[in-house]
Amino acid sequence: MSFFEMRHVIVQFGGLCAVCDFSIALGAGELVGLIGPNGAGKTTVFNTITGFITPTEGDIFWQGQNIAAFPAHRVTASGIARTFQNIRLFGDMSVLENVMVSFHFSMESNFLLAMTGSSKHRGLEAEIREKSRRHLDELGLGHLASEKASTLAYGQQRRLEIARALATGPKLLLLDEPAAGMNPIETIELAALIRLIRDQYGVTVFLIEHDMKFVMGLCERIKVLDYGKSIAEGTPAEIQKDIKVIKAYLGSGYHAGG
Amino acid sequence: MSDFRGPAGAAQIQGNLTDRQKTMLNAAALLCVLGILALFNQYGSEYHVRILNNMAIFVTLAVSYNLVNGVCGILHLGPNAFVAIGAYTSALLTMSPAEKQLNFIINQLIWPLSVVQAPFALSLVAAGVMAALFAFMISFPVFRVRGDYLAIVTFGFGEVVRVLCNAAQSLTNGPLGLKNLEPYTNLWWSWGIAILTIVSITKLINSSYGRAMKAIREDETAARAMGIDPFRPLLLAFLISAFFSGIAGGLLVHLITTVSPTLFIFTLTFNLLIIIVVGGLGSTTGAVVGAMLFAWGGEALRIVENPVDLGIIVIPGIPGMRMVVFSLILMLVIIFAGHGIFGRREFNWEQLARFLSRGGKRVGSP
Ligand SMILES: Nc1ncnc2c1ncn2[C@@H]1O[C@H](COP(=O)(O)OP(=O)(O)OP(=O)(O)O)[C@@H](O)[C@H]1O
Ligand SMILES: [Mg+2]
Repeated sequence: MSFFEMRHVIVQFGGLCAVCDFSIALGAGELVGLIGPNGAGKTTVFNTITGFITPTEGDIFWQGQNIAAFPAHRVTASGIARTFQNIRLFGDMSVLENVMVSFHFSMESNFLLAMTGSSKHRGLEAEIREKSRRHLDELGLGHLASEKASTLAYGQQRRLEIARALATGPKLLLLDEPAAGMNPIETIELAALIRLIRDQYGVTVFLIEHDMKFVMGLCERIKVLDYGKSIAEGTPAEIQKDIKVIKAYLGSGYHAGG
Repeated sequence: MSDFRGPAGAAQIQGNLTDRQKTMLNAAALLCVLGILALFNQYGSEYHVRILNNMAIFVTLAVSYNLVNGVCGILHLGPNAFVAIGAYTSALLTMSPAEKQLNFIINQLIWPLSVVQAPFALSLVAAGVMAALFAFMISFPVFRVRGDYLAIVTFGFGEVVRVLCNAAQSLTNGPLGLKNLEPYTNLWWSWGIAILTIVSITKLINSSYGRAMKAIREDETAARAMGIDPFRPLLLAFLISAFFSGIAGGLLVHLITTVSPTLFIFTLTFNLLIIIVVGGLGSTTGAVVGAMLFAWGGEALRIVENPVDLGIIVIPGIPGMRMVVFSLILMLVIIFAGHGIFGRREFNWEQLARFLSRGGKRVGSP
């Protein structure tokens, strides 16, 4: 069985088939892209994997289980983390606290220990704080630890979303348009960061992106979605030549050669 | 280091205090509070002692209420139910069987409540537990919904409990209520519980559990994506809030020595809402200050309900005028300080030190 696999997944919103018979298999350590015109159903695929939407039909196999019906928090606990297309930080909390939240679900304490300020609990808190600081340092956000998350620049907010997702300890990371709104330099740095995450943390990465240069340069394999259907799959070179892909993109004003 | 050497010492105070220093300062503050309480206990007038007891009870209620409404960002409108359940539980346990027989003249109190009697301390624990049990029972319907719907559901449960206080005569003695309770509540009890509530809830808020609650307040979807099942932190906040509110109910009725259903009408919830909004939603410091201002103001503003003698004519006192004044204060705070007195900030020694070392000219930005 594959590391991760979606089989014949269908998501229907009323009459609209947002994802129609979508299948994909990811190998451990792969870096795969998901592209397609606006409204193609890419985010819906991510929402389905992460338990925010239960598919109308189909199965999602992960770690030997069918997680199609798992609620979001259980999917995360099973080792799949994500970021959001429209950044969703805990705006009024500090950058450090944003990352510390990710350690809550795996913390082995209880509220009585917390309320009485027991030394066991304080030890665990200190550990979480330390780990979170390290995560921030590694992602180049260490100097912003005590800032309020909502005050960060756009590119930094996207980075913080990645830091926070990584802190949940995933084996599969889903990034929904991580480069959106970033300037060219930030985009280059982001590509390097994603490679680092894959190579050093050994995390499999599945990402959605509209920036073709970014996707073609970074991903080893690309899946193309149009009107909820998979229209192509292959290496960047193959995708760039695919006539169906070119048509889909020309139709919505993009050019695959980007 | 404790030696204070002019500018160097000032610089040290400006920097971060160690945990040890903070513990010492907290202990010193606690001693001060205890000292003040001892003074009032000894020399204070009955009037002042009553205000102080009221303050403590409202502090307990407001800090617990703020845990749900301010920290979790949930509009819960039924704390009056928790207070009512705690109040009746505690009262029915401390009354002697003989006193109960005198009280329940129309309907008999159901067995075994009619024969049991427990010490005050135990009755308070039972009050908290019963309120938390009730919170647990209603938590499933309550947390299935959010926002306005949750507000309506909790408001509904608050009303149901109030109606039951009137209707379940063989349990509550109906509209007649319970009279002649022992006045067990004194400054030590009321402030002891208030301090316990503040300390334990503050520790909870500053822990991973509190961060999970705030994360849900900030963005529930993101919190779920970080592995948090929203139901659990919300339920935890709800239960703890109910527990301390129930205890406060027990303290309240043993202060005024009677229980009647009218104590637990929606006005109680409304007052708590005013307190935490004026203090700053999400700030425990704000809840404490708001509650103290409210309890003090409630007494001080009695004059607005008294008849006014203008020499030629006497304007008769208007009962309920205090609520008008409170509502005005609420509106003014909302207009001029949208986030209340403290916003979401908390008291901390470092900021106080910074404030003092600047000669009190300007408070450091949060
Ligand atoms: N919760 C929902 N309820 C109803 N319709 C939805 C919902 N979520 C998405 N859709 C619809 O499903 C289709 C696919 O949306 P989706 O957000 O997955 O597209 P996308 O490929 O991510 O697009 P974009 O590139 O603009 O982010 C769209 O037509 C959208 O309007
Ligand atoms: Mg999308």
